[in-house]
Amino acid sequence: MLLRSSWRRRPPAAQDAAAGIAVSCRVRLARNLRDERFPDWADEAGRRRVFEALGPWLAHDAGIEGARRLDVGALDDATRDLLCERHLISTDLAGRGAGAGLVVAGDERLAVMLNEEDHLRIQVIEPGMDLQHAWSVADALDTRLDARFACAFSPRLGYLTACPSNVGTGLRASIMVHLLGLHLAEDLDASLRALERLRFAVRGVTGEGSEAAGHMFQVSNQETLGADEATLIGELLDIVGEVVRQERNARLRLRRDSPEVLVDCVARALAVIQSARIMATGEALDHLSALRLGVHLGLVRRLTVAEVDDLTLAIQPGHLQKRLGQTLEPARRDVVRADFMRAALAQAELHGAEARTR
Amino acid sequence: MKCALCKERPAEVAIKQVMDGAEREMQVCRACAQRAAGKLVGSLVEMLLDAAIDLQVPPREEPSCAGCGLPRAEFRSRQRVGCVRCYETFRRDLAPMLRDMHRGDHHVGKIPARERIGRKRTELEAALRAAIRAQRYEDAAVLRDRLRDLGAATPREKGAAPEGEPRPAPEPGGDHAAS
Repeated sequence: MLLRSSWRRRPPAAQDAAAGIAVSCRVRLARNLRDERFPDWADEAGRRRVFEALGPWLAHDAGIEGARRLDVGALDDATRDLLCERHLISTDLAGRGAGAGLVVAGDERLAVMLNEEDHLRIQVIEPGMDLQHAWSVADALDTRLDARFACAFSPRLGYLTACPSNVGTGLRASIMVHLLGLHLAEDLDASLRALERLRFAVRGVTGEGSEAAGHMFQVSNQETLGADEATLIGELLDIVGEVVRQERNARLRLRRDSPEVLVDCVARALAVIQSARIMATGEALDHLSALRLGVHLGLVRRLTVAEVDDLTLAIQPGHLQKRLGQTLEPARRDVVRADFMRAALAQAELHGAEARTR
Repeated sequence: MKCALCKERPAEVAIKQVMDGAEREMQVCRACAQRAAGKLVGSLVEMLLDAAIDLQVPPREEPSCAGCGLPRAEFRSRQRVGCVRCYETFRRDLAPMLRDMHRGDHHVGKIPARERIGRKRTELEAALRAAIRAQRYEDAAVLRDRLRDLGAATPREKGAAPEGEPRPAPEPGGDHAAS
């Protein structure tokens, strides 16, 4: 069955200086075929045509390694949830029904959604901040696509998309950052507002709407017309570089000026996880966020950032149910989650001086 | 409401009349409105003597996209277009939206290969014509060879061109010149 083996496979953690703060980055290109109505306005037959025209080519001839093609409309809910949790499909695509498609590479770093808001949404995810590499992969696939299909493009407006907010480059670049330090230092709102003033979008990654369980935020460009791809990517790298610096400084200041705040946050998270019998997703994500910070600052032993990131995925509803091979009521899930986390983090402990004060 | 003049047809048009310093508004049907307008335009003397009349006629009908049938009202409520041709059909509505959302009004990023080849071909063909006109036949021969190297006129398109779906005619934006 799909994804049973691959759900364990994760991109390796980045080694660079921003590691621990910039978690991953993504390039998304919106593209459409010229001669078909856009998905929202097309009928089911039209969407099917697009799916049948693009799906096989993407799966076999587009040079995507280990490609698998999925008829998203035909999947069961748990699999769709899992795909959403892994950011391989959006909630929009999950709700599309017939015609919704996904072609995903073996390593899950490249995925193409079919019949979401546009005929194609090419998406490349990389660890850390390597947006340039993500762009080059997406660009290469897009070039192969254009050689094979007549794409919707206008000399004046660039790539034509269903929503005018995506015309031009059709490029949405984003970087996911962990901002618990700024949150603890109570500087988070100021940073986020500054980003929004500069016309970048900031969104909490998990949770409903802009809720940011786990203090993970996705920063992305909003403008796609009037600048070229290199400029858009460069500007995002610059601004997120600044945010990463702010977060790093916040962590250092906390460490220097109020280490007890830091240790308390991490110690509580670890204690709750190691004792709790019931654990809801939102709470779990907040605790894992604290642990992630603790590991990054050397406060926690026998745990790595990669393990925390894997757990962050594994405890989400779709993943949990897939792992057990059964659908569970939320209340039951919360118990299973607590058990799973206790077992996974049984060996982790506070490091050094902090541990001795117990 | 019935027309104030003929009292028969439904009133669709408002006529504002300024007379003796006072503004009067009448609700009339299209036929009477046209007659009133025609009456004015027909006679210059009457125009000068009569009060100024401000004729307001509502738009005849809202356009729908010829490519996919998306009605304007639908486009405005969804804030989404239905096909490539909509970008031309609803150009007026889109202009302020694009200005608001983006930092420029034209594309400066990646251009698909077939588009680039098309522009190159256009450039070379123009240069070839100019060279021939100026009797620079050696230059013309070079240009002709370069054109031939570019390949066939239209690359084979295996897009999902459906039956019965009208192909969008002119390029949205109407800008064929290399920018």
